[in-house]
Amino acid sequence: MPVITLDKDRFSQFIDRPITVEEMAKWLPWLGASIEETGPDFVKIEFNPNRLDFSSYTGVARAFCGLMGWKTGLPEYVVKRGSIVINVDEAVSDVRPYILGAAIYNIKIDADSIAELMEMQEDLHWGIGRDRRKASIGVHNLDPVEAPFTYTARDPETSRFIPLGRTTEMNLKEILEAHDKGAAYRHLVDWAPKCPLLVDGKGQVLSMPPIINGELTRVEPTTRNLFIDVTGPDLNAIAKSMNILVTALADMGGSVESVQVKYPTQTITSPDLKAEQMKLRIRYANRLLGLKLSETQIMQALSKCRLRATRLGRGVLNVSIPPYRTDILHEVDLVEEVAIGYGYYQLKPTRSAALTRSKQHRIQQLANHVRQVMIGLGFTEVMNFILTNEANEYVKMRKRVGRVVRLANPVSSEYCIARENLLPSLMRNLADNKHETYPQRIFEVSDIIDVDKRTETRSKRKLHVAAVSIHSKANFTEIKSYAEALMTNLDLQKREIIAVKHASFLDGRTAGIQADGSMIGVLGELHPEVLNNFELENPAGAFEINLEKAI
Amino acid sequence: MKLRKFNVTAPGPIIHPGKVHPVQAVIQLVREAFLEMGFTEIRGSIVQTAFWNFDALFQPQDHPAREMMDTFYLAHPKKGRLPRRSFVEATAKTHENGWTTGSKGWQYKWSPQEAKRLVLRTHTTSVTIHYLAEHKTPPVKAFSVDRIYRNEKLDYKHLAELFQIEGIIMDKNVTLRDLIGTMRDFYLKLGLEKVEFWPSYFPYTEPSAQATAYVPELNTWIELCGMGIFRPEVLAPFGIKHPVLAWGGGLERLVMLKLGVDDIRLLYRNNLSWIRRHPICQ
Repeated sequence: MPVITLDKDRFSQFIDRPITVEEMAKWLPWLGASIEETGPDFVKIEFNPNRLDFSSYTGVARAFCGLMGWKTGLPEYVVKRGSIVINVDEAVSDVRPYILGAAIYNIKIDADSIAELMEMQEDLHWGIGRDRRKASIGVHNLDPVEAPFTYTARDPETSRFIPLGRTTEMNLKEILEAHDKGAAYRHLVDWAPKCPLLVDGKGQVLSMPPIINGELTRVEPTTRNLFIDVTGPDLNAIAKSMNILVTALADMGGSVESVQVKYPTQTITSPDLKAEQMKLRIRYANRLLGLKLSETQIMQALSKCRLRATRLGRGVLNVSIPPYRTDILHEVDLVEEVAIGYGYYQLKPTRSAALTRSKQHRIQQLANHVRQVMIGLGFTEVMNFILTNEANEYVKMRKRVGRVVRLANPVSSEYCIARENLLPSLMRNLADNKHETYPQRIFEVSDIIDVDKRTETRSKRKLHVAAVSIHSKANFTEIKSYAEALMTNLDLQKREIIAVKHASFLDGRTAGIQADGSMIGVLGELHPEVLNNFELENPAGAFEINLEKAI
Repeated sequence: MKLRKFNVTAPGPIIHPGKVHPVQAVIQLVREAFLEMGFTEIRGSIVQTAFWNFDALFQPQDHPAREMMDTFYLAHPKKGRLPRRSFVEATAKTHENGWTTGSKGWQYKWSPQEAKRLVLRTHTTSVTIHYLAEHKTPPVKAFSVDRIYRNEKLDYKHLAELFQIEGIIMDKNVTLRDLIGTMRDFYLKLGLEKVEFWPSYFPYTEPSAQATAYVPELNTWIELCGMGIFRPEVLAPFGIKHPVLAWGGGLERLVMLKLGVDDIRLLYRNNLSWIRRHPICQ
């Protein structure tokens, strides 16, 4: 989740009044930001990915002033008609087809705001750009370059420029291979024969989207005029990124001028900072929130969230939404704005009157019956992960690996498959508890996952129980008595015990449990090799039963 | 006859009773709280199609939470089956342009292939929405305390496999304030008296909130759960007509608090002396 550290003094410049860290920490959470950390002169907040406008001081300040009632209503943004043109070359349409631009004049920035701009860009690259795939931003010093600009695609070996942070020219191929940003983002363009490039009227390179800007247009604290480019395959995503960035720059004091983007088939004027309109029904808002707010109260609440509501008809408001609020998709999103503007802290608890009868799930109920019997028999419950590995499940148990549920992207080799039996987990528990006093009697009643082609998920979750008794005198007879006691109490009457062979158990001391003609479990004395594999020195008896038949 | 007198103060041999695992004991407490409040327990597959885990909950197919970095995808079996066509088509359109919900949607081309991919469920909400799609007559009050998965490296704070507590109420005219009231009752049953509710964000609820609780023993506030009302874009494709209040949170945090454990890995290490030592009532 994105974070921003708000220095108290700097923040107070943006809200036009002094403020304490305590006040900031008290009120910021009511905007939906959570406090990560507070210091003597800063508050670090984590904000939700729907509110990327909180990635700048001015974005937070805007919302904060509204919530506090200092500055409410819709912030208006003026875009003056500018003269800059970007010509989009057909060559780029196969790689990264869209670009939008904006020019910002007379902005005062310092080293802090440059750092802030960079962080904001990174948050937008992450949140909307999906790591630059859908949208990536370039912020440039406008003065060294000359319009019109051309967004084109060039041959990676013959085109050259000095990338940001370097002193010598590199060709595009070298940048993809040798520059750290190239290595990080080359997968977005290196499959195409030509690389996207933004050049000015004199052929100077502004940037190589979405990889890196040129050194030529580096933004310094002395920079006063900016050029913004946003590129990507998704016009919607690049417009959202553009709007959040440009509104922040406008609130930082810049004046915004439009850019004409000329595609072979159409011309787009960007940025478009007009407020979007959406309807809100008073009754809908009150019903979802459980409130009885009047039209005026709702309009006030929305105004505190920097929206403007006007009366459209009986019980219906027209709501104007500022261009940085890219998260509002549906009327229901306005309902939440009403709640935030009204204040979550004012929402008094009520109870739904619905009378319902509770019901346990029959499988959980069965698991609890099993628990009761096993505990009565003196066994201690263990809880293990379903995720496990082949060595523990199969190799140490002297079994062959079958077609199990397997992860495509395991976090470690220790957890890469789903268990189809509980017993191997219990064996590992015994190995981990070698130094504890004996006898040890443990059980688990929990889930395993089998592959099952007939189901929607090609797999089936099943409840099993397994138990092990380990001590110097553990034997077949003891574990059989335990298993019989459990099954009798589960009313598994029509079971049959037959002699079977099982790789994990001692030959001649292994029994299968059958019910209704199918094998549901196994019990016996564990094979000495298995005990040895888990470095256990005492004999052990164990059983495992699939409980599906008992349900 | 004369009995030899015993030294009654001498220690007897130690024996250990069979007992429930400490985490299980807390699961039972949570289940009881739900059951006392009239909820029905639900249970579903741990392996889910991306459809039920993400698409049905209006999470766009390029949402960061769906990436391999966060979610366990299966190498085998790889793909599952999509549910009935009407569900799939309505979900697809809702993602693409909002369908009839009045939403803008996410403005992209929805892929059925992506929705068929099998994952280890990242939340029990995949089971909840599936259940709601099949139980549409109000009132519905359902809960689960069950396993979920996150592609997370294990450390003292994180597990890849953990338990989630989840509850929902679907009924005519239920409200955000009802949800807050229900949450207060629920956590009161678990011994947390001071609970606060803040604005928050989840892709499938709106309005959304998160609850924090004050823990007097630690003199601190902890995050308890996320909550909200299911978005119309989640309900409409399945023909669910009434608002659904939902909340979900991790079980382990509660367990650690109750047991005074600060390394989450200890909970599932099954150290026998730890289990044997723990009083069953605390």
